[in-house]
Amino acid sequence: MRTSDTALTVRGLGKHFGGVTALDGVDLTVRRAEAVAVIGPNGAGKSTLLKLIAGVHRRDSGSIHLGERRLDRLPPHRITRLGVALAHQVPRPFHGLTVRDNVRIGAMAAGPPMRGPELDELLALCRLDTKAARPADSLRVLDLKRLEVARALATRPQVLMLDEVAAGLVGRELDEAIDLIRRVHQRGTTVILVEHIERVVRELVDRVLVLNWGRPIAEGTPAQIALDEQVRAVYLGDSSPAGTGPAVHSPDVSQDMRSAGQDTASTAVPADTDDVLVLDGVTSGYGDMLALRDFSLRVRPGQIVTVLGANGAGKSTLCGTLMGTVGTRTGRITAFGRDITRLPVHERARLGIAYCQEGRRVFGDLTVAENLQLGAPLSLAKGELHTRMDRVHAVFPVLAERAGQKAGTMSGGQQQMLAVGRALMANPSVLICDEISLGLAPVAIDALYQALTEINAQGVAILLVEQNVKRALGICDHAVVLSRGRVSYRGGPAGLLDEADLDAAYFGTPTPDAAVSSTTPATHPGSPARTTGDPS
Amino acid sequence: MTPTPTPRRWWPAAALLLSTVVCFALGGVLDHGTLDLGVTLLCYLAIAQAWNILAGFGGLVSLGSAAFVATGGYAAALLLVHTGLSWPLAVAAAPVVAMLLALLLSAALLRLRGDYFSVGTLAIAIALQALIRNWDWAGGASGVTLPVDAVPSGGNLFQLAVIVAALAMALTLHARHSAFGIRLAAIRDNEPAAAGLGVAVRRHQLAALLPSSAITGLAGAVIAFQFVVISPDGVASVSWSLNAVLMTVVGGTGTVLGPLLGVAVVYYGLTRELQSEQTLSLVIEGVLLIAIVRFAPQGVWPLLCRTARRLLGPRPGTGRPVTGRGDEDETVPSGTETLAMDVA
Repeated sequence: MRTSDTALTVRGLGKHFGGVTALDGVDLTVRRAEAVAVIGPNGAGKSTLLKLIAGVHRRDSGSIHLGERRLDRLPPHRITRLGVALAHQVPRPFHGLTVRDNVRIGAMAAGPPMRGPELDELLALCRLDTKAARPADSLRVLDLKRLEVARALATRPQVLMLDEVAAGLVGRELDEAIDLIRRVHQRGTTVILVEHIERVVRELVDRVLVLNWGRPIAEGTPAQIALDEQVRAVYLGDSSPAGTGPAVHSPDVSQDMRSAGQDTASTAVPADTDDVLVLDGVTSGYGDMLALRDFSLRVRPGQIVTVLGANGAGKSTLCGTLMGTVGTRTGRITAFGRDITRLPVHERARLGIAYCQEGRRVFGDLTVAENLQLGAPLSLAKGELHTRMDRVHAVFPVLAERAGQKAGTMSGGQQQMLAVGRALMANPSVLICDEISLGLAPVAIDALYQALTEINAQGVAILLVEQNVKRALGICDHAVVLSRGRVSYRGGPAGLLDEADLDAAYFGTPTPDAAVSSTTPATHPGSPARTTGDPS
Repeated sequence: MTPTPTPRRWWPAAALLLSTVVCFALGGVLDHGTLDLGVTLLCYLAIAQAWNILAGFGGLVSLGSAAFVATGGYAAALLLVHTGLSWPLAVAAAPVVAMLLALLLSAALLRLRGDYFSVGTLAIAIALQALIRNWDWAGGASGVTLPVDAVPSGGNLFQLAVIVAALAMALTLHARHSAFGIRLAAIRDNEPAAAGLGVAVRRHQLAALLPSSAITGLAGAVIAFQFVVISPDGVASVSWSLNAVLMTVVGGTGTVLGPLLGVAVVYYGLTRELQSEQTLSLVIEGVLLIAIVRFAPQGVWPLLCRTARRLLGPRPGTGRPVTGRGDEDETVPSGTETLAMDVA
């Protein structure tokens, strides 16, 4: 039934990619000025649904109407001009154009040309006003996401679809994103969200549609959905935060490790050859910009150390510096007692440091087994190769089941497992994981973190760079929070469980010194690393 | 990465108008040899600029310039020889026929993407050359001889070439500074994303292809008048396509003045100077192209601009302190230039 009150009607929508059914018989009716969320595990067909509505893909069956107008046979640019905009999960900026021109393209889509002040207002709304003249390819992830939203908004949509635009945001960034979407919604725009972050869904939408394997399995208010048994089973899982997770590490152990970490911070010269990784006063960055300042860290054998921090805090720079893709300006990096500060990347990898990069980076056209094989040294004997593969399969059984499948056709969670498994094929002594829970459904994160504790139990030390604070704190022995390239917290996970403490460490508070020192008794006052509290 | 279209300013158009008027006036002053060289340079400029609009701004890397040079040249020549029209009408017909060919081919060509588009345009250029070679009415392999009295020469031909090149420059300026140009660049950078923002992809690509073909066809007519005897091995040679690419890439793809510089460097500086050493000329052109692609992939013109800015202007961003939550502001330097700047 389509009435004048209806913004968007989806009837019996189906889509296949080759032999894979992405969507099957999906119905969705969105009223004018309503906010609806579509949730579900990775590979459920959420992004496909949005892309079919936007005309990026063609539907195989069913129909899509905007008001009375049928959309599913129109090309994407016509659909946009009719008032349907999609902000994609993976930002797709026009690299050669400035931020402002990127947004201008959207503004040319329909209606009278957007005047300068209107454009500036939109840029300010998305917090891009100070970066308007910069080329889009100089932006970092968070700003690229803002640009994606700004471009979609510039088309003056009646229906705005947002595909995981809040993924990877924490603390105040998340507040800002929620606030932005709320303001857009309050102007009368119909909003359809695909999101994994429960808070975004709870705070913004009136109605939730849950998909699994391309089929709708539940629909209702956020509160009803949270109580639905089937939804809990396929999507939410046992997602209780820190503490009840895999309880390999008791609080007592954390306490011990914390004091160990404290010793490290105050030790000027690392001499202990037992240590897996030692960074001592490391400074690194790009051009004029220092992304990591005077950073010290020690990872002991069998330890799980987590590095937390907001976007742009310097976490990925830390990974790059450890692996040698970003040059070290000052300071020293030692691995297994050997100075590796000037060692090239491949030699560091040979020493037993495995790096699981942000964004999975699996080879989509190769099979799962071939991807794993690429993680092992070329000269490895066949027998040893199979031993290692069996060991990875023991941790991730799904990789054995899907050995012959192309990696690109697997769900996000499975691809992330493959990326971790591939890193393990090098038989590392230490595994560096950069943002492995990004964009994954709660159940998939559960499985990954369970696997991490198993890997750790086999004696592999883990350096976990994360934005998912609660998960990371749930399994780590020692936590470091980076804020603008400096350490703002160092100690056991217990000191960060309180929201206020965490916010202080992430973004500072009006009296950062007091906040940091009161929550981190373990931090050594004379430690060279404890500098962020300084207002300078 | 090619530069961004920037807001329209009045002085580039004024400079173009002024230099067009000056060059036009020079047509009555210069000696015969210089005029002949001028016509060649101006035709190369028009062809290179037409390729620049299509490839540099639109991202459609064509290897088919020769097809449109031949179409324009033969259209003008055959009209003169077989119908006895006056030469201005023959010149006017050249871009029309070239555009008709482009329109006909666009149905197939604009479905191709990336390398496939390049290969498709190359195939068309080669096929057209073979077609002309076997077409008796068009003179077959030996070509057509134009009636010398009926075609312009010397100063008149030079002035015609000036107008064609000026048209090409004006079109490039438009692509560089207009909303159309921005949308074309958006399609170049990410086609699905542009479509998702309401840009009609095929229509914009066609809107780049048609004028580009017209300019190339016009240049073809001028070349036919200059050669007097045209043959499939002359005006339909693949070397027209390759020269358009070479000159633009050397000068600076996606810039307005790059092709001008590229034509000067490649034709005036190399091809002509080394006319007696054909083989050496090819070797040097090859080495030059490799050096450009390796050390200045954006071309010579952007490199000169950057160097000038570095020598004259203040050093941007030096010692910039990190303020506020400015960590998102950090940029990764995009090339060796920035590193060199730090050392300087």
